[in-house]
Amino acid sequence: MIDSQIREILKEHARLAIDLAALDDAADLYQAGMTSHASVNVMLALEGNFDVAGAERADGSLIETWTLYLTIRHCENHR
Amino acid sequence: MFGWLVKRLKLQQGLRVEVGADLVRIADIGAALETFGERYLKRVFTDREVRYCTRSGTDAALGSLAARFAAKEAVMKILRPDANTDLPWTSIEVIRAESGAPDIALSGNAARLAKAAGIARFALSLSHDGDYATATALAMRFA
Repeated sequence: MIDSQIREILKEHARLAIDLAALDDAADLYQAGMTSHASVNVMLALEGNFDVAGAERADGSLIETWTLYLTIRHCENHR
Repeated sequence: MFGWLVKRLKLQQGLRVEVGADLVRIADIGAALETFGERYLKRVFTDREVRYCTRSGTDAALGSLAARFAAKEAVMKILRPDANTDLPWTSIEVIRAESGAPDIALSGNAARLAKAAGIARFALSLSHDGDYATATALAMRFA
């Protein structure tokens, strides 16, 4: 469920030139063509959609969904 | 007698210049602002940057913000943080030097990375025209 939501957000905000369906869960989004500016959009969209701030919830606890955590971290530390 | 020259040559030999550059579509900034509003501004730009960029009209503001985003990314390319280093966009700030030229002010991990890399100072050039904004950053460091 969450994975499909993440993919929807990537589809809308990551501006990838490749087919998202073919993208592996562990794929490097930057290698797949995401620009650094698009990464900001993805991160803000993920945070808004899942009610998290950065890789943490507002109370400081780490979010429990690993894929979401990794995706946000990936966008945060985009270098 | 030529001590100053030797010293200067040694200094130049030890000096390394690194460059980072980036290009941003100005429309992307407008779209992000429209979608995320204040959250976007707060995440990427300092209050001082926003104040400076919005001092004269929306179109000019978008170009200025885009150029600043490009500058932040250009500096990121020089600092090359690893994936475990948190480096907020706001820790790289574009400021105006007394001369009026754009300059870089670093804080937090960005400042620490620059110090660890021996970067003595940055030089920055910004430009925007039509659909795009660009920035080139130079870092001078002693090898």
